[in-house]
Amino acid sequence: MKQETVSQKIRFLAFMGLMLAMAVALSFLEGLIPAIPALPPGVKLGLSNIVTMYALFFLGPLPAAVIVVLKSGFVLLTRGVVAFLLSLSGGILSVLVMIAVLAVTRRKASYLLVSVFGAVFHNIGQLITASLLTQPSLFLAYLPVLLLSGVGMGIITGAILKIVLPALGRLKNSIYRPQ
Amino acid sequence: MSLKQDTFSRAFFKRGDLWAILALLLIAAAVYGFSLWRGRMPEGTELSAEITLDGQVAETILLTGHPDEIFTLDEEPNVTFEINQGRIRFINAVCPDKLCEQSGFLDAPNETAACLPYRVAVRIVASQAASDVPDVITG
Repeated sequence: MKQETVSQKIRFLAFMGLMLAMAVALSFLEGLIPAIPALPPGVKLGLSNIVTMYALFFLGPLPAAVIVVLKSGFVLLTRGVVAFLLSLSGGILSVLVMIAVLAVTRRKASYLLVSVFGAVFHNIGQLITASLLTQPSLFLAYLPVLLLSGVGMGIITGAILKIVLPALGRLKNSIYRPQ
Repeated sequence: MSLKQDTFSRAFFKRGDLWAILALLLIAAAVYGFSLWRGRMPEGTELSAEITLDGQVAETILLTGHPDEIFTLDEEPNVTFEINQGRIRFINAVCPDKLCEQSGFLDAPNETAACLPYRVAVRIVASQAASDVPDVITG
């Protein structure tokens, strides 16, 4: 019995590691996409939110938050303190708002709704940090375009999540071999 | 470690989502409208560029009537600005992603752009021109 619990913990760790690797890879891929004009400096679109959402839906709020924080740690190592602060603030606010959306709707919210709110508040979190680091008037100046791009990006990441769900489900089953 | 199992029956989209998305878009439109209203320029408005370093105002430059110029701040030589026809923009050859340049020229009150790696920002500030007062000397 005890043996079983230890093994479950190891499986959980392995799966978390895989998720983190996916989040980091997506974050890196996103950096390769040419910058979108009219977006404020350093604000990224948040493709790795796909992984955060999967963790939120299938592992729970805490693992989702852990992945967000660890992914920001990777950003700190590779892109420096400012990028880390942007990544962390966007990620944390995004995951908190997604948890709130699920709580308010008693876990009945659609993928799209969670995804759109996650993306919008990812942008808002980053914008708050960018404004605090430089000039407060940056916030209102960029809020409209970031709300707009958040809605667009949320629809895209929500759709991608829905498409890759079966693949992620198989990955999870390969680790948590159902008996 | 038990896993919270989401049901695969979660809907991708619900009708009510449209209202939530519409609300977000309305907020965006309202903020944009507000910034247009704040950015209006009555006759005799003069524009200045307020450049901040680490959130502290480093320099304020009167843009209206300013000759075209490319310059850097003494405190931060890595960030370059261009003034052109009373507008200002970042030109930064040093930062890795050159995102600040994409903000383009700023030419309306409260427009703001920032270079995050160096924590430099520029904001447009409006003031009423002193020459708005009838000038009896030059007529």
